[in-house]
Amino acid sequence: MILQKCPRYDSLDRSRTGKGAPSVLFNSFSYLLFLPIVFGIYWAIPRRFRVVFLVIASYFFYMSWRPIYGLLIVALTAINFGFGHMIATANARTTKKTWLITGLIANLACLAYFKYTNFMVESYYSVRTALGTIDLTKQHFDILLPLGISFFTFEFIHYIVDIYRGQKPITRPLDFALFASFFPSQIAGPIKRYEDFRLQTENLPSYNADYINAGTQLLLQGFFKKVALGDNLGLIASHGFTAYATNTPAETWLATLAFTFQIFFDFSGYTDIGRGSALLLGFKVPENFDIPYLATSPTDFWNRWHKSLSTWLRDYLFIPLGGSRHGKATTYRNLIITMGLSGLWHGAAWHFVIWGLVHAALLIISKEWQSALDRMQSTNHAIAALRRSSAWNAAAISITFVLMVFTWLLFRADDMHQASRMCASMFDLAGLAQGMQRASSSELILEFVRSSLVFSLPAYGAYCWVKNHADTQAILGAFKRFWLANLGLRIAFCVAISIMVLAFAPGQLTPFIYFQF
Amino acid sequence: MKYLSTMVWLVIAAVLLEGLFAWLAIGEQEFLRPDTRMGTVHLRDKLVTWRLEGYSRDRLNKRGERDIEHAIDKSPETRRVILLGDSVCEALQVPMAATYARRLQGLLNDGSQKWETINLGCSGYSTGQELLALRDQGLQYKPDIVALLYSRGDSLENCVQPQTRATSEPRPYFYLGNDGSLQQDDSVLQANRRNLQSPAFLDYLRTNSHLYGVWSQVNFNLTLTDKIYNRLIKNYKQLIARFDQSQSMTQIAPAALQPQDNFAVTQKLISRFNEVCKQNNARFILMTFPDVSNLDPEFARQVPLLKQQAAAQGFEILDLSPAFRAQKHVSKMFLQVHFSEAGHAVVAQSLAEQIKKK
Repeated sequence: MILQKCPRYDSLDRSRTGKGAPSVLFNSFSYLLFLPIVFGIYWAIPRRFRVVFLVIASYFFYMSWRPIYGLLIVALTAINFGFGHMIATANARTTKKTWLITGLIANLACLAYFKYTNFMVESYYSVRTALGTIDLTKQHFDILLPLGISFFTFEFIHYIVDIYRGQKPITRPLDFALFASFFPSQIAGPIKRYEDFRLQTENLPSYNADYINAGTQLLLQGFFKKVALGDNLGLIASHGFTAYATNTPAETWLATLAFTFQIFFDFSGYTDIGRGSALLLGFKVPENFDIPYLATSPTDFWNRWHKSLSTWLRDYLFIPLGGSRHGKATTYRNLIITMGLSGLWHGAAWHFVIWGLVHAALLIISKEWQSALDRMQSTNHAIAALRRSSAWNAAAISITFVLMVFTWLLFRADDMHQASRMCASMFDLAGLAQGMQRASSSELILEFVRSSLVFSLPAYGAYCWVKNHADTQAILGAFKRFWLANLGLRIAFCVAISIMVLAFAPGQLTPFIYFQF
Repeated sequence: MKYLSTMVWLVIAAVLLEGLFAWLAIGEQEFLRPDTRMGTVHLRDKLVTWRLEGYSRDRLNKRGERDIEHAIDKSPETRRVILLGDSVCEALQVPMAATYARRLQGLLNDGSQKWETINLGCSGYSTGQELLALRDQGLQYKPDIVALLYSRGDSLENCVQPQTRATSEPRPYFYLGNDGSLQQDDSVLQANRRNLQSPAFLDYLRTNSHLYGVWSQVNFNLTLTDKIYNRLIKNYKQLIARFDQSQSMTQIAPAALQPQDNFAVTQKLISRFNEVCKQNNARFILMTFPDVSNLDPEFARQVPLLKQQAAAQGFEILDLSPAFRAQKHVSKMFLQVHFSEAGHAVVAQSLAEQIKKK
């Protein structure tokens, strides 16, 4: 037994968990009870009851956090179903447009109220205070942000816009209720497209053992990413960002790199758990990541990172603004608006907006650079050959990665002062060299070296390499046949990975980063 | 055949995991075992790698102390200091060499005398358990000085209140009898006797198995963080208790079950500490945990009362708060709630100065 009784740890726990009902979050013990129960009942009941059962399960999942906010989902689901119906059945274009605008206002007003009220009020008072026209302490309203509101609001907007554009609406209210509340993607996406989802609810699949195989693999992969990698990296990032004022440059780099990988493992781990959970129920939700840190440019990065958000922003913001159809200036203006709002979507704070604008700047520079290279390439074949070389590719990946590390610094920092201090520290090359020499006495570096990350990070890297490397496919094929033929091996493997996840987990349960959005 | 194959693969997985965890020093945080007399005691000769708060990788000695090996026999020229306390004194959060117990020995051994410090601190111990540890373990070392670290919350652990008796941690509790005398209440221990009689194979697993260590760690983390898990465990225990009449608390509890004044019991325990030390010709030094932020009004109330008690009963008291407040970076003296290496250095220095005063 470890510490059967130590009231000091108890007091830590109380501050961490707070009061109220226990939440069924993906990385909780409750979810390990919830999912098998839902899985068992779902496949045991007749097919005609499955959608209604999943709606009930999804509401239970969401309401375990704050029961009252279940009403918010009910209300938004009802009004958006109504808007979809009105848009689809209206004859006149202007009537359709009126319903669409009303629907957009309703959804955006809801998002604005819950997410941006305090941001707007605080910004207003900050400006007035700075101008000296008001002398008031900042106003703050006690508004609790509903989990996942940014995600399901975007799904509702996508739904009514697509119906306005001519798509068929969902006719069965229960199917729409499930689209709106489906627990594997409810809290932090991926942002679903209703056409894909409707096809699945209208043709519910029969039980297939492949769902268990593939779903379990995704679940284990997700838990490993989140708990064994993300949460441990999070501890290092958290310590590094807290003590930023006294960090050596090496520690600042370590903290920033730790956050760079933490946010990836945290979010892609969440997505894997969500996708795996959905697959166990015979549903497919879209992928969200495609090895984003191997992107060769900022544009490529956004094609690989949070793909469901990137494509949503493209389809429902960038293109409606005019996209890239009206010349360079308009294109860049649209990019700046889209990425600025993307930053604001991530968080109601100015450093998120600046994070988005920095990405816009990187996208514009990247596009200009590509255009310049294309022009040079047309007259100089050496450049064309160079661009095809693996050295060029490696350089492009490295530069893009370093740029992304700096943008994550902006994202994670509490304010611009902290971000600029840490940025300056990272460029202090003399200090970096000294810090490397004193690495053995650095608490942060020692914390990394002593953690299970020294094993789990390379192990995960090797897993990805084997999974994605062409040369290993033949070996994998042979192994797969053996694997599929041997149930005992599969069970033992799942048990072993589960134990490893638990063994590598840090002592503290860490919420998913994207839950705050 | 299918079941046999699954079993074989599971055994292979277990062996591989055991090897991997041993190589990575994972699942080595297990360091206590149940005990029918004390509630819990340290495992003996156990390698512990601690990561919950801070980091350390050391072996508990063959007597189950978080210290280097000590001989019971004491040479005439040696002076011994016994250090008692809870997890703060045990100090798994820092390497053994950095604990105030080890540092103190270095500071005291300035050549004129040979000093030996012995750390009997154990996680979760109450003042009452520390008194029993002194009697059972400490006195056999023939100490010249006994230094007890009194921490925030300690007094809450010394006696059990009637309304929480059924859910209280199994340990010896104390109460004041009708005549004001200090009485030991082992009813909670007796009620949990069956759980506290740890079978030999479980002790073997605790000491040697990394997989068991991982399970224990997960159980501990879930107990702290997951309300559903806690509720399930509680219901399970209640179910077991329903079938086990021997666990009925009311039949075992002593007659004196009136609500107790925790701090009055604690003061009585400290008086007893002082008496035991006097009887054994040892100096008694009571150290109070540094409350640098004044976060705990109850503790702030207790410290002056303990100082009055020390003056009245003739023992020494060392309030660590001034020494900590004098540090340039006070926050660096702590990890989360326990001392950092720097914090241990301050305690060692303060205690060494206190000891050298006489």
